[in-house]
Amino acid sequence: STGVAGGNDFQWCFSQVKGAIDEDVAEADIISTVEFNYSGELLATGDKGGRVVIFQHEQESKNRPHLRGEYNVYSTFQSHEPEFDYLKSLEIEEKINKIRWLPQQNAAHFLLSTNDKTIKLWKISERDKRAEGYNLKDEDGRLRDPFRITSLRVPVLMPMDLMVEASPRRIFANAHTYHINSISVNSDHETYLSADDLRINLWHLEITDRSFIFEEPEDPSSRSFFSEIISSISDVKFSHSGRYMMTRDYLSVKVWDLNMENRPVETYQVHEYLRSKLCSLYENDCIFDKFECCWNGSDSAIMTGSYNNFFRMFDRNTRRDITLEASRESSKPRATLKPRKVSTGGKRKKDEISVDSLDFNKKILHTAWHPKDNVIAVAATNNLYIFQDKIN
Amino acid sequence: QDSQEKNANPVKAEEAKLKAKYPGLGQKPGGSDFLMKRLQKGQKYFDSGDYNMAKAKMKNKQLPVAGPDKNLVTGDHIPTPQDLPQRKSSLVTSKLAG
Repeated sequence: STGVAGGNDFQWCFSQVKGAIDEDVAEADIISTVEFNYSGELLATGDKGGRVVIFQHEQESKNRPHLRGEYNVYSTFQSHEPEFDYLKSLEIEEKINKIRWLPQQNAAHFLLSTNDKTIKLWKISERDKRAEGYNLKDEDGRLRDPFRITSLRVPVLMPMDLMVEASPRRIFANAHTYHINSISVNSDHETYLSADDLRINLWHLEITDRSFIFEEPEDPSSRSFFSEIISSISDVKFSHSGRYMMTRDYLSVKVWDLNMENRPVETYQVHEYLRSKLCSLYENDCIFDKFECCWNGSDSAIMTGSYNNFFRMFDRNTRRDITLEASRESSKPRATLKPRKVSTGGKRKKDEISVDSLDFNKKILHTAWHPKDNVIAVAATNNLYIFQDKIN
Repeated sequence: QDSQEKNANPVKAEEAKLKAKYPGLGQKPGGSDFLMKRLQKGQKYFDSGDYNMAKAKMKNKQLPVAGPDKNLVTGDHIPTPQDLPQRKSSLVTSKLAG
């Protein structure tokens, strides 16, 4: 079988899964954002309960060099708390909408985390030494009587068990009237995107009174009650090269060339079979689900989620696509993922699943691709799956 | 002929289905359903104007406290910040870190 983002023999396999197995999922445990840092060494998740968990990639062990290292917990903290806006009578959810890592400039790591209203800058730093041999206090911290001290000593730095501390450095409140859902800085460090529910703005950091607006003109013959809803953009991402931009709407992913704002250069159908199910998807609110999308490190492939814990990948060069599933059943170490298929015609082949059998409660809204390697993180409700390419 | 139409434009067929179920849909003022749904997220009953005016009127007296059922707000009672169900943040560590 052929996968995406590699040669003809490319295959994805299971690496790790994090989170509880129990069927009863607490609202707070639902993962709401996933993001690798610039090197791929760190992987951050945010959840509906306002908590951030950061995983760190462990080096491959010398004993088992054929296995990639694993991601283990590095730090966890409460980023946002529920609030109430008394003036607008609005509850402000603590759900983390987005985490963005800043480029690393010193030993500490910095990230931005945001809910609907407030962006916070967090500093994640390691402490593996502590000073011992103070003059004015003893080892338990009790103050010593200065009159009883007869000699001075210089405190010495002693190693201690690694402690990873997260501290809030900045809080940007009241930055937005509408709900913040996305910020993306371009690799040229000159432009950035801001997205709300209705429009994408591409801004130049130096020019504040103008922006380019990317909008595909609507085909009047296809207008319907649903067209506004399904054409609404749920995610937007710059390519690593800075030359392209990708948008996700309910049924498709579109790649735009930043030099051409009147139409996309590529369109990929994610789950076209849902077009004839829009009525029931409206009734069960699924039509309002906001899926994200991401690029691989070389911008040759894109990935996005769907229902039934399926996620899709598209190779931009070969135009091949693949559907895979994040499930506990295929979670054996290094087990190869089997491509999945939804049957749309009358006859359902063996191993295919019919549209009506799809579980619309199992949505993959958030995915992330390692910036350099073929390692992906897929959030399936309250579980985090990590998949990687098969190493032979 | 019907199935031909459905194949040609499944979205329009879905729209017709929806309109048949909910005839009044799309006619309400206040913008689209989609926008209203997004804006109504988290709305609770609390009027800061009422609350502050009631506080000013009763400078020296206590505001009437809500009855045992705090969710039932009726009559002369003005909701106070204390009446609103307080959402506490989860102090439990994420199960992803377990």
